[in-house]
Amino acid sequence: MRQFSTLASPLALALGLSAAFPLGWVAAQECRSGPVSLDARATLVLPATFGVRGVVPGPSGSLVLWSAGGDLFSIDRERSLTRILLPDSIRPAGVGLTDGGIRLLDQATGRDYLLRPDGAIEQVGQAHLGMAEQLDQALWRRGGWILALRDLASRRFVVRRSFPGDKRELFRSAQSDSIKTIHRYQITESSRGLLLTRSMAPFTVIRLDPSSGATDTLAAPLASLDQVNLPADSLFHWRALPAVALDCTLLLTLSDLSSDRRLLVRYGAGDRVERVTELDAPLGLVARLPGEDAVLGARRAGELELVWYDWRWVGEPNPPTP
Amino acid sequence: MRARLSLSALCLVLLTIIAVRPATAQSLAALAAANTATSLMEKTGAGCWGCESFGGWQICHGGEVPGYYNCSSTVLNTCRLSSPGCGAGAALPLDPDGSAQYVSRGSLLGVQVALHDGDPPVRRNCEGVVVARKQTSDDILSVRIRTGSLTL
Repeated sequence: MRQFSTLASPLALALGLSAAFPLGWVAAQECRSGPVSLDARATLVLPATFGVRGVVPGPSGSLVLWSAGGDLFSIDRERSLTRILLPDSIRPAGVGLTDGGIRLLDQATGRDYLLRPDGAIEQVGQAHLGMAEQLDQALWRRGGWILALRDLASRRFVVRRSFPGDKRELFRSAQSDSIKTIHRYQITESSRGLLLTRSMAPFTVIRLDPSSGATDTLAAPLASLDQVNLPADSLFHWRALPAVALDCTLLLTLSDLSSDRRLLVRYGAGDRVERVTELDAPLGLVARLPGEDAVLGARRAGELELVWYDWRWVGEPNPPTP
Repeated sequence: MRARLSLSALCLVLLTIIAVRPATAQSLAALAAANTATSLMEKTGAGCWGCESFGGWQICHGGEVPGYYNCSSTVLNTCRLSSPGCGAGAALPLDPDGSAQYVSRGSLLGVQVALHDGDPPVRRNCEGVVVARKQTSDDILSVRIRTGSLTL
């Protein structure tokens, strides 16, 4: 079902999830890994020309997603889609769900906004961005922002905290030869820290401690890609989506932008690639949905649509059907 | 003198093109909006722009899809690095299905993202990236079957 309206109740609904969402659910689960099975259970067609830039899931099954163009949508548990109107000047680099409303960090200015359940929006802060810094992404986490940006002066990718009284830098990539080739990573949450997924080859995944900045680089998937016939001169067209953590298993989608070829890479608990699955269909795995054993995917089937996958460890029985 | 005249003429042409593009995009956009019920697929990245070679000059070439008309340009050395709708984050996947992502910043050539009746079913930019396409009902069914259940 597709539904468009202006704000109010869906926003309040989306906010209702914020209190329970952040971290408790991951800590409570044992850290398992192994083969997983995904079964599509529901789909939702997205509006034409809408491209998912980011998704924030909540424990109650609702979602907030946004596009690079500044479109913001909420999806409730019944999968009805509602547009949340934003001023044209705001294009979120990140979205956070809080008790007080939806936090939005504007990509161009670093202004921190609060969108209240009644639809009112106000600036509540300002992330400091240097003159030569280009914000790529912001991740709301425990009352503050984790900023992922490119420092065009030093030609490095930087991850920095933007919390009240805490602007520590957590990560700085190697220096690139030019601005255009600055390494770019996308940040996702996992139970063992932040995951930085490098968008381009060699698609490195780095686990980052969001407090200390300690890093752990996982084995690059490229060595494992020999078996799938991926010529080195085609890597220019490949991109990685942000890694999705299922306990200690990580799923990484590699997309060939010149075809429908996809590689779904599974990391095990040892942080090594355990399996690479080839797929000839335009699909990407986007996020794990907390509170339900579901993974969100996006696929192009006529139009861009979201797909809810039930996931389970292979070898475990199917969950009972309600 | 002749060279100077040629340069002036070229500048005039360029300025005309630059000025006309957004309006063209806008009217096409309105047209596209009126036809959203058609089977045409317009991919994300709509309104993104790239650089197109014109008489040896790189000129700004915007998309033709509703949403953003923010093709920014400077005179002569025309294309800037980004337009807010796409450029700033363009090296990141904008569309997680992976098939419609603008992936370079400021180096896309000849970007046209809208498909119209009679167009070939797949449109690629000069880098070979699929930026728009149509899927037949068989294609759609195939995607649904292949992605319905996965073991990883």
